[in-house]
Amino acid sequence: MSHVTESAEKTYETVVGLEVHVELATKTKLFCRCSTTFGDEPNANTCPICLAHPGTLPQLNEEAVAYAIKAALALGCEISERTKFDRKSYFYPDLPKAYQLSQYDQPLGQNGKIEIEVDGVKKTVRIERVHLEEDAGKLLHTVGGTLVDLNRGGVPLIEIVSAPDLRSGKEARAYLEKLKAILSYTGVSDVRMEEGSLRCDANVSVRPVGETRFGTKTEIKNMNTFSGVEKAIEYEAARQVEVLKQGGWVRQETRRFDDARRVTIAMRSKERAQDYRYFPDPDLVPFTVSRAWVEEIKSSIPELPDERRARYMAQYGLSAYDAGVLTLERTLADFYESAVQAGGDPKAIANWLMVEVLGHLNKENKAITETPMRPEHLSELVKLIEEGVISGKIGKSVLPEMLESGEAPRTIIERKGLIQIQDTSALEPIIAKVIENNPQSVADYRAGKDRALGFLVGQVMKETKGKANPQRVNELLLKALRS
Amino acid sequence: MQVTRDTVKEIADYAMLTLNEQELEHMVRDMQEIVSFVEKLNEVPTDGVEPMIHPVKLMIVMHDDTVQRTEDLDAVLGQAPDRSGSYFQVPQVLGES
Repeated sequence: MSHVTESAEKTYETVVGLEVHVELATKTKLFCRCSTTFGDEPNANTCPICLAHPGTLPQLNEEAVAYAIKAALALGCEISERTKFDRKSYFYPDLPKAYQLSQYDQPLGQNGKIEIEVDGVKKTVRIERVHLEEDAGKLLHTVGGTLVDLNRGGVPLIEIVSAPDLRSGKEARAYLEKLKAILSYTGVSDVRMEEGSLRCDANVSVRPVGETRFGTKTEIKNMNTFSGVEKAIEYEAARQVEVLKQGGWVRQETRRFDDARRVTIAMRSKERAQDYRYFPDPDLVPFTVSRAWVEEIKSSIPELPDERRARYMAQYGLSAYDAGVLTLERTLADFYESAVQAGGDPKAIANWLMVEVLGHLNKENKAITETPMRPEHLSELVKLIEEGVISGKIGKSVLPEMLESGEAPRTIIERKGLIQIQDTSALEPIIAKVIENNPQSVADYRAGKDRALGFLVGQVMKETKGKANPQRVNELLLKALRS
Repeated sequence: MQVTRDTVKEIADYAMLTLNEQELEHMVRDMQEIVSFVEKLNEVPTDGVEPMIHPVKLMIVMHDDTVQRTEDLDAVLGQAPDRSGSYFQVPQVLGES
């Protein structure tokens, strides 16, 4: 790698490719009918097939194939007409057959792409392949021995392999967020990173800017969050640049990310290259994916995040940023859409949802699906403000209660007597009182100090406990001061 | 193809087998015979022949997505030499999973 170490003054670019494993949302495993439920008693969801008892034969899960095709189509892939499963051999107690059933040279989907946008710059990231495979079991290393739970063994996964098109941790994160959004829109996976239903390995290398060949890459495993992926890549790229600048070379190895210490650590390097000895599985015959089946699946794919974002911009006049935030999660996008359909200004609803609602939910670490507030209630709140029934400030004070109790805003404001006072006859005596109690401010205003007016408005608002319509108060105050 | 001692050692390593000197010698001879026998196939002209993945034309049979429970967890765990609670227990494995 002498070409990258000639000068210490070079600037380097980061090259990243991601391998993402996503657990499919089927009820049963890929080759048997055991349940895929998360968190059950160890080994409760096992049978002779997923325990690899001699003489058992795998039977492919049709739904898993359908989900994999759906995911591949949503990622813009071509679907292979003929495909097969291959054995990937390795010895480890998490794999009772001593081989994993995967797809080697005929993946279900190929040549897809994802559009990402980072700092306003759009970019296409190519997807090399999407294939189906089975998950391995879970090991617990204890002093007495290694404990094996095979509940996860045989659960269907898709592996999505990107081309080395990403150039930073930030881009990698944007890619993962978009990938997650697309997969959750299609409903093929729960994509819960905390339950391990989306796992990511990153291949990272660096090279001097302008160089077309790739540098030696390392593979980073054990990243549990999107921000962890971003940090791990940034750290690893910086480490590699440092190694090169010192005149050293990058070793091809597997590294693990320590999120707490924010470093990557080399894992025990294998002395000899692994040889998985792939070969076609003779127990599962090659199969044909009919074009009719692909068409049927294609027609079941809903509007995807990019299309929805474009529609929100065109239909509701939202900015690219706002439309992007609102469409990243299908549940949020659906909530927004329902609220808009119930009436109210789409832009105002978007603002309330993004700033107030998400702000509150993020503080409580909740998702939009975890609040009893209905979309119609948000729409009603916005309409109440538009109509001047309550002020924006009162709206903000009512919202947390709506989010907690699921009550309609009108019910809350009526119960609490928060309806805005617009009525001139109700406001005039209060204004007269404020003028009487604040002779200094009145004199200041008459002497040309405009700020005094703001103070007087504030006093009226205070007297009415924020219920007065500020605009109306302004008008009436001016009128009273001039008389 | 020449089967050497190194070839056999490497394959034994993949299979996690330890061979003594005598077994190694024996394996080298044995595997050489098998490889030479199969190599005969290289003489067959295969230009324009599509690779065959499975010898019999069979339709794949798939299962639908309905759960079937295993009734007796103890019977499942009882098949293994060792268990701990409802985990299978194996000798300690070193390294990362």
